[in-house]
Amino acid sequence: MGPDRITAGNTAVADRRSAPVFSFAATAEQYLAEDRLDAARDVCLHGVTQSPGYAPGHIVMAKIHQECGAHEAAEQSVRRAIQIDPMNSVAHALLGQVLLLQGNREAAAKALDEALFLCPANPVATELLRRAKEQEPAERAPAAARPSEVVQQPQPVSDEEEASALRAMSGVDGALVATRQGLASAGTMGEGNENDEALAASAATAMQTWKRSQALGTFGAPRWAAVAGERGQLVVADAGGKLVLTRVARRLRLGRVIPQVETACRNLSGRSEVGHASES
Amino acid sequence: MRANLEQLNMTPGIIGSLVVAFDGLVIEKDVAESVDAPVMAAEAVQVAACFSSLGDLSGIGDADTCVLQAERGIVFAVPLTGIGWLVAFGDAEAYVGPVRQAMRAAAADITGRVPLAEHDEEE
Repeated sequence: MGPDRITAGNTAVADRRSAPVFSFAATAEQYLAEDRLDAARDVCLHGVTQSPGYAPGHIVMAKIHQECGAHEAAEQSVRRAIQIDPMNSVAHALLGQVLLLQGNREAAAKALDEALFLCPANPVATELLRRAKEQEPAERAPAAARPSEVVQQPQPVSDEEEASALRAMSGVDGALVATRQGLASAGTMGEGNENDEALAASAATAMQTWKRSQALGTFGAPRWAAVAGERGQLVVADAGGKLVLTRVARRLRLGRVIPQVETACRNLSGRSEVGHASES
Repeated sequence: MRANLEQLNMTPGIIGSLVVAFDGLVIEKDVAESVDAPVMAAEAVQVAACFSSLGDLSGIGDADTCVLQAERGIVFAVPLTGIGWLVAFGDAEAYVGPVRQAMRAAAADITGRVPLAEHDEEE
């Protein structure tokens, strides 16, 4: 970038500052595309200072930091964008990219999973997730070969075992384990129930809605929801990356079933306490 | 309606209650001014409606109460036919059974409908 371009850029920056406030992100992104990093940073910094609650501004700021190699600053900016707009798929995908560049593949995969949950057709997130997962087994292989570490790993509990244990309880009519993406993985709400898949998907959406509620967030992470109907009660509990759905008789006290459900959640998630692994 | 909320708030563990229209607007409230209850109630209604919609898919039928237990608090929501929702906020230690019964009684009084049979009888 020559001196003339810098001067021209600064003049343009001064002009663009008087533009409508939310156009700064588009302007900064245009400068970024033109490799005019100083101008992009100037416009974007001014914009986010004036409009700190505008998520796209922080996303562009993150891209600028990333372009400058300032990955930690990029992560901070994109996390701010997610805090403002938790349902922004682009922000989650960018967070995944930034974390991947920092070598944090596990967290990157989690962020990219979130991006794809919000927008399954996000091609950038799909490709980045493929890369993140492609490199994981090679890094984990040596550790898996050490017997001492293998012994220390908690025994995995299968989804089927937990669903069966819950269904064995008196007053429990059905139990289903689902992924947080809403895919039924084990159990059933009743033999021949054709709605298990749809129920798992709807329960996952409901739990996501709850987790994204900023106002309800003052009560902390979700643990479980219980719905009572005329023919029974449904308990949906958060088990970290999974959901446990249990259908119980209407006459059964929740106090009897909730401890069992929470035990299942602990076993499935490997956490010490249910509900403490809320998503970032 | 105000009297129903005041009565409901006397239930141990309950820290405030509101009647909210289906669109989230507050119709009546009895909560401390320091709590941003209208926003919380609007979002609680949205979440409760999502969980209540699982009734048919799970085979339990139309939902008449919804409880949302979080780490530091609990939300109770009961649909009020033709009006909206009765929402109550509690601390994390609130007893679910007594509050649900109080909620159903308040809802029946507000709507003039007879509540369904109790849920919490021991099996």
